[in-house]
Formats: sequence, C-alpha cells, structure tokens
Amino acid sequence: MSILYRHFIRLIPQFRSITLLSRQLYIKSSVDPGEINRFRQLSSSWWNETGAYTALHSLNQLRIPFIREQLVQSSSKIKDILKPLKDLQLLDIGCGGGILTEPLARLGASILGIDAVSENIYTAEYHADPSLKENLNYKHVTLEELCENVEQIEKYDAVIASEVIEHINDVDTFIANISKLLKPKGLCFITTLNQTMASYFLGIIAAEYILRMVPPGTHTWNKFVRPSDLITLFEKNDFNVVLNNGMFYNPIINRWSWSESQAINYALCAAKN
Amino acid sequence: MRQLLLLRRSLISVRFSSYSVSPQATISHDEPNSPALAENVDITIAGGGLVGSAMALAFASSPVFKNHKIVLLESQSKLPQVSKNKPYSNRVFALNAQSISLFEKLGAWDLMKSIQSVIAFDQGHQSENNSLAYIVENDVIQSCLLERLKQFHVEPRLNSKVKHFEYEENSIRIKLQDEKINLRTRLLIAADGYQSSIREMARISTMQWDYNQFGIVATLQLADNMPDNVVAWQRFLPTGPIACLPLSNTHSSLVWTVPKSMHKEIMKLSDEQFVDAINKAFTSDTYKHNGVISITERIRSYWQQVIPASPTVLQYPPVIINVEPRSRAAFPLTLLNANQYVRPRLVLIGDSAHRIHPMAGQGVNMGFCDVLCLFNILEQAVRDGADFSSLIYLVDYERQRQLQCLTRLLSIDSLNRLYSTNFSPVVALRSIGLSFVNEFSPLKKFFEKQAASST
Repeated sequence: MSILYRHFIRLIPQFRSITLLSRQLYIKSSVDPGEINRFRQLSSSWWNETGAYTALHSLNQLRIPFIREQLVQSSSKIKDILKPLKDLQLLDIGCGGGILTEPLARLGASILGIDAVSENIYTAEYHADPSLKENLNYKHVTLEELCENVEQIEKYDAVIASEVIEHINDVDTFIANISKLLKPKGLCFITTLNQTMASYFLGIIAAEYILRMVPPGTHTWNKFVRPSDLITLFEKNDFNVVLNNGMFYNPIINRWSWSESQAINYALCAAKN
Repeated sequence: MRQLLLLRRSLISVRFSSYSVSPQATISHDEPNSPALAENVDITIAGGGLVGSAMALAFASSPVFKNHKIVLLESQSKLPQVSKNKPYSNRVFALNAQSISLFEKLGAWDLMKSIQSVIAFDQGHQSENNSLAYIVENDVIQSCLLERLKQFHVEPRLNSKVKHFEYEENSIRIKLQDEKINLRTRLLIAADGYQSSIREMARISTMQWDYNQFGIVATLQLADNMPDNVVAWQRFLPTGPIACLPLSNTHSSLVWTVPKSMHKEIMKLSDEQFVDAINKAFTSDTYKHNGVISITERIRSYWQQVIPASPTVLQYPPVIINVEPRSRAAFPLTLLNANQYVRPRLVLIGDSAHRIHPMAGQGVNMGFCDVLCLFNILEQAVRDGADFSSLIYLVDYERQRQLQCLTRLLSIDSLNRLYSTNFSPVVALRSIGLSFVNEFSPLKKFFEKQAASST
C-alpha cells in the first residue's frame, strides 16, 4: 500500500518536496536561478529516501560496509574509527545524484564521482554537504575521457561502479579502462543484475511494470551480465576476483540482504594484479 | 470491541505508514520573519527525564558521536537531586537486567549503587547469578545520569520547552518557549512523556485507552527489621493488583492499582486507615474462592505425579506498620501506543511512544530498551557514513521497537483483563494456570527471561 500511496503522491509534488531555506550553494554562481530551481527539484527527487530511488538508498546499508571492509582489510595502517577510509583515493563511476559517493566521503575517502549526465552532477554538487568540500568532488565526464588524462592513470586505490555495467555496451573495454586508472593491487567494486529468468521476471517485469519500483525501460535484460562472464572479463584484464556474493531485495520492507543465490542481484570485488 | 477496532486501525498504519512530511509542518520560504539566527546542533533530545537523560548520556559517552553536538532540553525549572540521608521518594522502578547492563555501559551503575544500597530481588530458589530485577528510586536514577552527563560537559537546558518545530531543507528548526534562541537540529528525539507535546505537534496518531484505574504509590515502613526483604509481592485482587517492592530492610514501595471509583476514598483515608487497608488487601481471605482453591489443589496433586515437585518455599507477605508522610500519590492509568515512532528527523522514545500498565514493572525498562536500540542503530549509521538522521535507519528502529512494545503492551493488557474478573471459571483457570507456570520450571524460566530482558 505504501507503494500505491507513493504513486498517488507523485501527482502532488508539493506534498513531497521539502521547501528550501536559504542555503549556501556549492555550485558555480554562473548557473541561472531557474536552473537552480530545477536542480533543487531533481535533488529532492534523488535524495528523497521514500521516493523513486528508495532502493538505492537502502542498498547503501549493504554496499558501504562491503566496500569499507574490503578497503580497511587491504590496508595495514590503524584507522580512525570515524574515518576509516582516510587517505584513500576513490572513483565512483556513474555516481548519479551522489547517493553512494557522499557516505564514502564522510568516511574520510578522497572521492571523485563522475557521470555522463550533467544534471546528475549538478544535483550531486547541490546536495553535497559543505563540510565535505575537500574530499568530495564531482565531474561531468565519461570514463573514456577520464582515461585520456595522464594524471588519472594509476591514481586510484579503488573504483566503484555500482548499478552501472548493466547500462554499458562494451563491458570489456570498460574494465580495461578501470584497470588503467587503478593502482596496482587496487580494488574494483561492481554491483549489478544477473541475466537469468528470475532477473527477467523479478528485476524487469515485477520491478518496472507491476510494482513500479523503477521507471519502465530503465533496464534492458540483454545488457545484464552474468557473474561467470564478468569474472572471465576481469581475469582477461588481469584482475583477481576476491569476493562474489548474491544480494536480495525485499520490496515490502525496502531492505537488501546478502543471499546465497546470485539469481537476481550480485556484488563483486576484484583486485588488480 | 472499540479497543479491538483501535488496535486493528493502528496495526494497519503500522504496516503501511507513509513517512511523508506533514504539509502543515513545512514552512514557506517566502516567510519574512524567520530569523537566520539559530544555534546549529546535531542531536536534540526533548525531555530530561530518565529516558531522555539516558539517551543523551549514550551519545555523550560514545566515541562515535564525539564530534556531534548534543543538546538536552527540559521544560521544568529543576531536576531531582538526591543524597544519602533523604527519605525515599515514592516513585521507584524495578530495573531489569538489560537496563542494568545499559547503565553499566554508560558508567552510571556504580554511582547508583553507591547512593542507595539497591536491593536485588529474585526468586527464593533461583541459583543463577542474574537477578530478576533491581529496585531503584526514580530520583537516584535521574541524578546519577545527570551527574555522569556533567562529566561529559553536557548539561540539561532547563526551562526550555519546545513550543513549535518546523522542517527545513536538511534540519528541523525548533522554537522554544520564552523567546529563547532557536535551535536548528538534524535530529529531534522526543522523550517528553506520555502526554508528549512533540508527538501532538507532529500529528502522530495513537492507539490509546483508559483503564479506568488509578495507580496509588506510597513509601511504606515494615514491621520488623527484615533482613530478607528481597521479595517483591504482588497480589491480584478483583479490583486490581497490589504490589510491594522492597527498598531496604525497613522500607518498601507500594504500587496499588484501584478502580477510578475507589481511588478518591483511599486517598482521603488517614495514614493509619491507609496502612490497615494495605494489610487487609495483602492478607484478607474475603477474596479467596474456596471452590477454586480445592480444584487447584486437586489438579496440582495430579500433575505432581508427572512433574517433579520443586520445593516451594512458603513466604508470607510483609506486615506494614507505617506510611511515610506525604508519600501517597495517585495517577491515572492508560495504555498508549503511537502508531508511528519515527518521522523524518524525528524519533519518539520512552513513554511518548508507548505507555503500559504498571502491573509488570515494564514501563521504564521498555524506555531504556528504546534508548539502547536507537543508539545502536544510529551508531551503525555513523559507521556507514550515512546521514545519521536518515529515515532508512530510523525506520529500522521503529520496526524493531514497535513490534516488541506492542506485543508487550497487549499481553500485559490481557493479563489485566484476566485478573479483573470475579467470574469463578475464569478465576479457577487463572489460578490453575499460574500455579502450573510456577511448578513447570521451563515455562517459569521462559517468563522470567521475558521479564528480565525487554527484547
């Protein structure tokens, strides 16, 4: 019922958006006020925890500890309890509105979020907590363009591409590019959907058409990547897959959990040799 | 019947509640006189009572929250202080094992023990180390928590009642009474009691009903110096349970539940008449049903052939000789459960979320369990780098606590109904049932464990 209610609520935007008080904007002042208004609306849509992106918000409960634990283990220094990812360089590909990027910055990492859609970058910058200005950055650039920049080569301790590769055409080149940007022994984190019957019925039909958790047409089943194929591609690009685990989403309570089965969603961590 | 409908309605909102911000609570951004001047804080706890102070202490004493600014607001002008020689106050609590471990974690338990020799009470033949409960006065708990808070440089702000609060983009703006400076807080925790004004302001609906009963409390003086005054007594009269909680060798605390019609005349009794009434309530045989007793005895003899009889030590109720002057007080009893414990950036804890019949001594323990649960969840949120007032985490708190609190509220409510009747078959059933539980140790251990923990 909460889902239907949400549907109804979408028709009445003023119920949902929390109106703004004057706030220090962390974006260039050359952007005009009408645009700022639009970004505010978009931001409130991305960052509304009970809105269209609710599953991505709750996924943080799974993926942040996953990333944090792997990164903390791989480094031997004793960490500050509040900033365990301090002094680590991270790259978030397809960061969207910054849902995953901000918590990682809060944990102390120096993180760059990139996205091909400029509006997402403006949304993310608009929402960014001013106290994170030093270690949280966003850039409207594609992965290929970033690879052309010499300073970026072998710069990052970890690269995260969460819920991204199911939208990529050429996954092989994608991983090759990631490899260029990673330091040796750097980690690559992927979360994505599997290409199975279950993922078709639950991930597309149920999620997009029946329950309307994501807008219809968000995902194309043909682009889903099987874990075995992904592992092969990683090994081909000289990676070593460290962790490979299934995830399960319960739409009724909006919670993710680790699962034995990789039939629908899964998470992968690979280390560059 | 009406109560069942209320319950059904509240369960539906529990299941399908929407957490959208109430439109009346938003402000328009072209309101000219919302001053920019406001103190920015991270966590505001409204209500400096036991549960509010414990919550503040949990945050203040944790290394995870060391960079967060905590503010504790209290509407009264002073909070209780206690010293060793003052007479016992009339409000005491039976703290269960989980509350004790919370206080140990906060570093306040040793302080409490040093002020008052707290009595641990447990069953006569229980050999485990964990006692069922500790009896501690309200004032002792309160002042120890505040003392400990002072050590972390957190002082409650007195005379600060929340008049109004509004949602802003990433925070809540709180307006205090007496035109004090506004607060802009990321998270507001309401611990302001069962008549919570913050809950009213947030328009959170509740499921509540009146028990038509009053609870009478007093501090009693016992007959002789009884070194083994470590047993809590409760007798279920048709008019309501009467309980005597041990405080020391010479004093005990009374909690007597009486119907609304009776409470005025009991309060009007002189001290001697009051003491007589209490002694009579404990020992009188007028309430006993001879028929029921013979049935119970017969059935007990049957199953003692099956279940080995545990040695029941016969104990007698304490004899009261005096009541401490000015310690008699009465308060109305209601059941209350808020249909939502959380809203965006707002959490209800303690009595503002749920209120229970005092029969089982669970009320404040449930509040302390709320504190522990919310603290653990928020600590997890900070470790995950999330905005700790994120609704995802607050909803986790609500789910855990609402289930446990509601079941406890309703089971105590059913127990109350069960014992409020004089109808012989029911009396027989419950007497048999109770003595069965007493004899059958696995079942008895199960109930003890339930009472000892709030989870």
